[in-house]
Amino acid sequence: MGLLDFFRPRSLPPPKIDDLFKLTPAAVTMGQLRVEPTGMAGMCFRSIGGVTFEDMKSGILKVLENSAFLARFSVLTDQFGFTWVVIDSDTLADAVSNVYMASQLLIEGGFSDHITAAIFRFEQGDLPVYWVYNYRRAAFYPFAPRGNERDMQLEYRLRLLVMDELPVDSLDYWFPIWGIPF
Amino acid sequence: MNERVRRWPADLGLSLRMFLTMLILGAVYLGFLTILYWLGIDFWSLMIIAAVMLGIQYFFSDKIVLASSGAKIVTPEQAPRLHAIVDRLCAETGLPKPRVAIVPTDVPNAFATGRSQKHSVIAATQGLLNRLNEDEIVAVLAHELSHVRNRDVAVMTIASFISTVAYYFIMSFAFGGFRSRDRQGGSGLMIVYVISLIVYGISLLLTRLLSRYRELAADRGSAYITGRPSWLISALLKISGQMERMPKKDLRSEEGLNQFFIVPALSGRSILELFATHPSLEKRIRQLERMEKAMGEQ
Repeated sequence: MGLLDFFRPRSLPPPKIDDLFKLTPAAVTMGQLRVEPTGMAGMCFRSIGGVTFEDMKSGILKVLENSAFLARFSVLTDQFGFTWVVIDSDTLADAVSNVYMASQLLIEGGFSDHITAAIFRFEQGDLPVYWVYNYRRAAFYPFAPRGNERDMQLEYRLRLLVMDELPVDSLDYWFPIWGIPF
Repeated sequence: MNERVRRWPADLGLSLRMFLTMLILGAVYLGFLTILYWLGIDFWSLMIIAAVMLGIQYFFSDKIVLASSGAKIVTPEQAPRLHAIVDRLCAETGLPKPRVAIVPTDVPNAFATGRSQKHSVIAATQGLLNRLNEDEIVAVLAHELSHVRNRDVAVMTIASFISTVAYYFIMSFAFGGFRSRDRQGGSGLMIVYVISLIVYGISLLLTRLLSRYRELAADRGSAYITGRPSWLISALLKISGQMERMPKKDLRSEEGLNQFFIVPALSGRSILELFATHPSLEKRIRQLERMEKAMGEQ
């Protein structure tokens, strides 16, 4: 890369999504805090208009329809104008595989700048605990919403528990995502 | 959403200041002893002087600490809640009740001092009392009471004394003994003094290591006294200000600020950890997690 490239606006490097697969073994460790995996996952990306984007979206849905890891899915838009593809798989491992395939399609289609996060639902008792994969940071962080607050202690303890096996982001980037639709 | 809490002042500056203070104090202390040594005072007299100096520090530790921190001793009428917690913890542990003090500062913290269990003082800052809930305050005070029970002020004073003795033994070997030296003038004194500082720096590292070990022991003590390691975990997270680092804004509303996202996450150990009197938050919480797990399995 030349010196001038540094000052030029540029696209972000494609996310290293292989790390997604580290979530399944880490889920076993999370059992120590009685945080259990589910098959629910969601991908959140910034909607843009245009034929290519719509093609890409239907491409993703086609991939999910034909997935070997059987899944039910729905598409919706949130109050921020972000598109969600919510994927209901049988197990966490299936959810990870489905998200991986869809992510690959997005990245290959040149939309990597538009994927914000993949979110996996875990549960502690009946309460949701999400693991967010931030594509730009190529790292995970936990998010445990409790009404309008978050259970930061649980989040911090989860981080300590799995930080050796999962790339967990620095605390400064643990952005909340309110109103996760699953 | 929850009301935005003010970010707590970082502890780093304070730690650095305290470390430098210790270093300067030690430098003055050793410098004084070195001058006495060059004036021809023999080894044993020197040791007695060193013991007396540390003795003063030891016997007046509570007064020195209280005066330097600005802590005020409070009566049960002035601070009924704090006294009630201390009373309960003392009844549970069978320790004599220490004097109780409050430091009028907003930084959440607590400490224990005093040379013996009978002469001990437990102090909490106003910031600690304001921010922590009852359970968390109990856990922190149990940690401080564990310091009292473990006689940590005495242990640390003796540790400093031992490092002084060790230093003078090294010196007496390096310079062929105290009795057979010949006077070399100012430059010789300087060399001796510089070496003394290096040795002192190493001994400070070792005493800091011991101090961190005592902190972990006090954490364990707190967990055993309360039976709830998670109370202390919660208190430590609040005191450390880690939670304040978590952003409040939604990920989606931050999307425009892409440039922030490509900054790589820095990790790694700071050299300051070597000099720290306290173990890292992660180490402390990990230990408490293990205890909680063990207690849960019983």
